[in-house]
This record gives sequence, C-alpha cells and structure tokens, in this order.
Amino acid sequence: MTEKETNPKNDMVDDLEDLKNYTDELADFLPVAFCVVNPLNCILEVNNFFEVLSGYEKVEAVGKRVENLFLEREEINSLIEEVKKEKGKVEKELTLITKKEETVPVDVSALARESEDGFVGFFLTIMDVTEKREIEVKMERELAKKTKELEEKAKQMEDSRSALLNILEDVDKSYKEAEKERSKTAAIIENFIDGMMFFGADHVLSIVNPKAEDFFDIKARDVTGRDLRELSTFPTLKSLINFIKGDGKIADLFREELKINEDFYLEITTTGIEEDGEHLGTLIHIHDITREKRIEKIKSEFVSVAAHQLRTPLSGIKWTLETFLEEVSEEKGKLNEDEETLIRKAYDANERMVNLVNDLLNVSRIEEGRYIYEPEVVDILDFLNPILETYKEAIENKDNLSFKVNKVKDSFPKVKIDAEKIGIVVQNFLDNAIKYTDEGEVVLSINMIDDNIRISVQDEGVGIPEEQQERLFNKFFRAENVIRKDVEGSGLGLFIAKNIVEAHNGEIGFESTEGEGSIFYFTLPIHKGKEKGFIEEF
Amino acid sequence: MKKILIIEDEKIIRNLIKKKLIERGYNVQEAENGEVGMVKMKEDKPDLILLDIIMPKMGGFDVLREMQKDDNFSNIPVVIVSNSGQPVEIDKAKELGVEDWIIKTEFDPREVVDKVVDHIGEPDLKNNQNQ
Repeated sequence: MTEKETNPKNDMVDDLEDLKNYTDELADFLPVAFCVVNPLNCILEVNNFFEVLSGYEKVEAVGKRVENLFLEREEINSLIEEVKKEKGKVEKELTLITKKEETVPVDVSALARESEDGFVGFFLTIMDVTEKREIEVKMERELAKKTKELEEKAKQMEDSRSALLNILEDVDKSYKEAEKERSKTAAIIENFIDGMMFFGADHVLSIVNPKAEDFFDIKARDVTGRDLRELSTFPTLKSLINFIKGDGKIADLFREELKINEDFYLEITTTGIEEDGEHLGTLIHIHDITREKRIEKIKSEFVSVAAHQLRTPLSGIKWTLETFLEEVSEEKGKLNEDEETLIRKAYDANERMVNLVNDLLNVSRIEEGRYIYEPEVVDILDFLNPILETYKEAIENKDNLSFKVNKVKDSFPKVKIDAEKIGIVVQNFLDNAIKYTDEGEVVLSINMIDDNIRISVQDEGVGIPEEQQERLFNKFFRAENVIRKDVEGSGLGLFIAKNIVEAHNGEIGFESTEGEGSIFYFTLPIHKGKEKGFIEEF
Repeated sequence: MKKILIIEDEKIIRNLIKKKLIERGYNVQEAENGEVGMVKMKEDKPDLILLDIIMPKMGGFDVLREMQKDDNFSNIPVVIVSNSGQPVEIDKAKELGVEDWIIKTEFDPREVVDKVVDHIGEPDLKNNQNQ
C-alpha cells in the first residue's frame, strides 16, 4: 500500500482497478440486463442479470453479435444505426430470444459511447417487460371490458330512454283516444233519442241527458250529485224514483210502463253496469211510449165500437130467427124438416158470430185494463154448481163422452172473485174439452194446494202438439191439429182466460200430450177476510 | 091495460118485441129515438119503458136524465135493452134509476117479455079482454 502510495502510476492502476470493480459490482447489482457492445456490434461485457434473463453464460455471451439476440432484426439494426448516428440514447420495444429459444418482451435502451477517437460502441440495457406487458394487456382487456360494459350501459340507457319516450307517446296517444272515445260517448248520450240517467254504485245520479231533462222538466246541474232520497224530493222526479227504487237499491226493470199522467207514458229499463265483477252503477233507459199507448187506446176503442156495431145486426138476426123457429114449432107444417134444419144452422152460425164478437170485446177491454170489475166473496161450489149442471147435460148428450166432477172436499174456503169472469174461464176449459174430444171422459177436479183453490179440467182429446204449446195463450192462436179438425174457435178463449186468472193473482197452465189428451188448470188464492181485496185495483 | 113504451132505433128488434108484448096482452107504444120517446111519454104515460142506449138524435142516457128532471116520469120503471153491457154503463144507468139491463145478443124476445112481467106483473087481462 505504501508502495503504491509512493508510486503514482501504481496508484492510478489501483484506482482503475477499484473503479472497474465498482462498476462491475454496480452492473451486477442493477436489476436490469446490461451489456457493452463494440462498434462491430459484438458484445464485450454483460452483467449478472443479463445471464439470468437471456440464459447465456457470460463466456457464451461475449463476442455474440447483439442483433442475433432479438427477434425483430430490422428493428434492432435500425436501433444500432440510430445510436451510431445520433450518438445519444435510443429506446425500442423488442423481443429477446433466450438461449432456450424462448421469447421475452423487453424494452431496449442503447447509449452511444464516445472517446476522443469518436464512436467506440454502445451500452445496451434490456429490461424484462413481461409483467408490464401482461399488466398492460390485462389493463387493456380490462379497459376494453369496462368500455364495452359502459357502452352496453349507455346503450341500455339509450334504449330505456327511447322506450320511455315510446311509452309516453303511447300514453299520450291512448289518452287522446280515450278523450276522443269519451267525447263520442258523451255526444251519443247527449243526442240519444231516449232519456238516459246513470247512477253510480252509491246511488248518486251522475249523468242526465237532455232528453231525460225534458221528460222530467229538470236541469242536470240541479239533480246530478244527489242520491235517490234527495231526488225523490223533486216533484217531477218523484214518480220515477219511487218506480226504480227497489229494496235499498235500484230495481231490475225491463221495459216497465210508468204512467206520468193520462197523456204521458214512459217505458223504463234499468241495466246494472259491471266491469271485472265490480258494480259500477246503473243505467236508466227511458223511452217515451205515449204515442204507442195512444194508438193502443185508439185500436181498443175501434175494436170496441166495431164490436158494438156488429152486435146490432147480429141481435136482429138472432131475434128474427128465434121468433121464426118458435112460430114454426107452434104452427107445424109451415116448414118441412130440411127447412127447419137450415134455419137452425143459420141461428147457430149467428150465435158463433155473437160469441166471436163478445170475445173481441173482452179482449179490447182487457187491453184497456178495465176488464175485471166487481170482485165478490163467493163459495166456489155454489158458484160452480150451476155451470156444471149445464155442462153435464151438454156432455151427456154427446155420444161416447162422459163427465165426472171430482171434489176432494165437501166445502172449500171462500174466494174473492169476479164471478162472471171466472165463469168464463171454467166454461172455456169445459168448451175446449168437449170440442176437442171425440171419445172418452171429461173430469173436472176441485182441490186445495196450500192457500189456493185449484180447478182443473182433464180430457182425452186431441192434445196440443209439443212445439206449439208455448204459444197456446197467445191472442188468436189456434193449434194446427185443431184447425185441421175444423172445429169453431176464435183463438181468443185461452188468452182471455189467462188474463182473467192473472188479474185474480192466480196461475193458469196445462199439461198435454198430442193424441192422448190435456189437463188445464187454474188457481185462485183463498180470501183471507181482513186482507185488502187483491183485485180492487181494477 | 098496462102500457109499455119501446124506445129503440132498430126496427126489427122493435117490431119483434112489440109483437111478443102484444101477444102477451100489453098495450105497446113505440118510438124510433129518444126525442120521439119523450113526446110519446108525455102524450100517454107508460107503466114501463124498454130503452135502447145508442140511438140517433137522443140516446138512452139523455132520455134517463130528462126523466129524472120530471117528477111525473122519474118513477117509471126502465129496462135497458142494449147491444152493450159494460159494467160502467150498467152502474151509470142504475144511478139514473134503471131497474134492469138486457143485452140483446144474450137474450131473446121471449125473455124480454119475462123481464117485463117480473117488473110490472102480468098485463091487466080483464081490460084486455074488454078491448
């Protein structure tokens, strides 16, 4: 050491030696591959990390041409060219080929070395960027993924936005359509030829159209928003409200007649409005039938007058023939048997005409609602016996026909009836039984069913074809099989009978089998003393 | 002899009733409408009147009303002989003092005579025989 200290040359050599060691140590310590390259591109020196990264031992690496270490020949060549030319620092991303011929992504930096003589080679650092690349790739992927997600989200939002806009547009459209429908409905209700009212489920009036305003002389603004009870205080509405008011709710009515006064009749129909099983309210439909009623009345009056006028000549004929026949019997020999038969036939034909006219008169009175007149309390047997006596004779005069009266009891409770009219019903049943039975038995039965007396007439006659049975009580209806049989009849008898029985709150009906016979029956409620007469309204 | 006045516009009917009543022994006057009927009534007061309702000039109800106004006629029994026979009409007629009501198509001339007998009895046959 002392020697060295004394010899500056030695000192210098030592210093250089120290420096070299220092740089070698430093180079070996650096966590980056490093090599020194001469101007001919041959490696002169490498550090430890170069050995680790490339897999080449120092001895193998030294002397190797640096360009052979990389996959991208052109790139490394251009890098070397650049470093030689620029004499500064140049960087590139390249791929290192290791001894095991594996590839490693690397960042390469070259720094030119210069001396007084000029370019003397360059340093090359090779940094393994595998992880960095992986991270980069991963981040890129992540970024792409996130971008994609964002794009998707944005697209979804865009879609939702347009969907929302579409919905809004649809809502607007439906609203407009509903509005249009509403105005259409309102216009229909406003201009409807009939009166209309609508009560909500709470029985509060919500709609009144102009026609209904006219009918009841009211203004919609005065009556809407009011319930049934409040409305019944309006004098012009009272009759309608009482008419439609059922048991705590609006009654079910179908074309029921409401008389406002002699010159004004309405027909009322109520319709419950429901949606998905929920009761929304009731629509009241009001139709003016005054004109129909007037025509009906004129028609009835016409029939009534015509029938009266017809009766005059008919009674003239009747009385003349009657007198004629009487005198023939008194003064025998004036007419021979054939002549007398002819006169008798004319008399019978006239009688049928009289009956037909009577039936027509009765029908017109039924239609005028003034048919049942004087109900009186009677004993049904006292009432029936004289009729049955007459018929017993008539039936027994007919060959092959017998008559039986079947009473379940000797006495029955009293009934309150218009005896003349009920007589017409019994006679009608018996007349039919006789007319349409050629052979067999006619049985009249009287019995009690609950609080009703039931009178029935059973025959063994032609019966009524099944398909025509439901029309049997219609006005002017005659079954085909009896028309063929050519027995006289107006087709009014059962219609009249039905009206009479129903006006007495009784029931009328029949059972029949074509070719075997029929049973016709009607019931009369028994009279219960104090109870108000059930037909007094007539 | 008991006198019957028939006020009826239908000639056939009128004649038939008249014939039957005369046969039975009554004295019969006839009138073709209410107006003539009132005149005949005043000329010779009848014991019973057979009266139609619907007639030209003066109908049956008008005749009844006129008779009600005159004490001389208000007590004469009246039997209506009409084509019609509605309960309302019958009630109205009863209020005007009518005794009975016959519907032509449901009766014959002989029964009309029976009704007359029911109300005023047989004709005074003695007088009749004297005639």
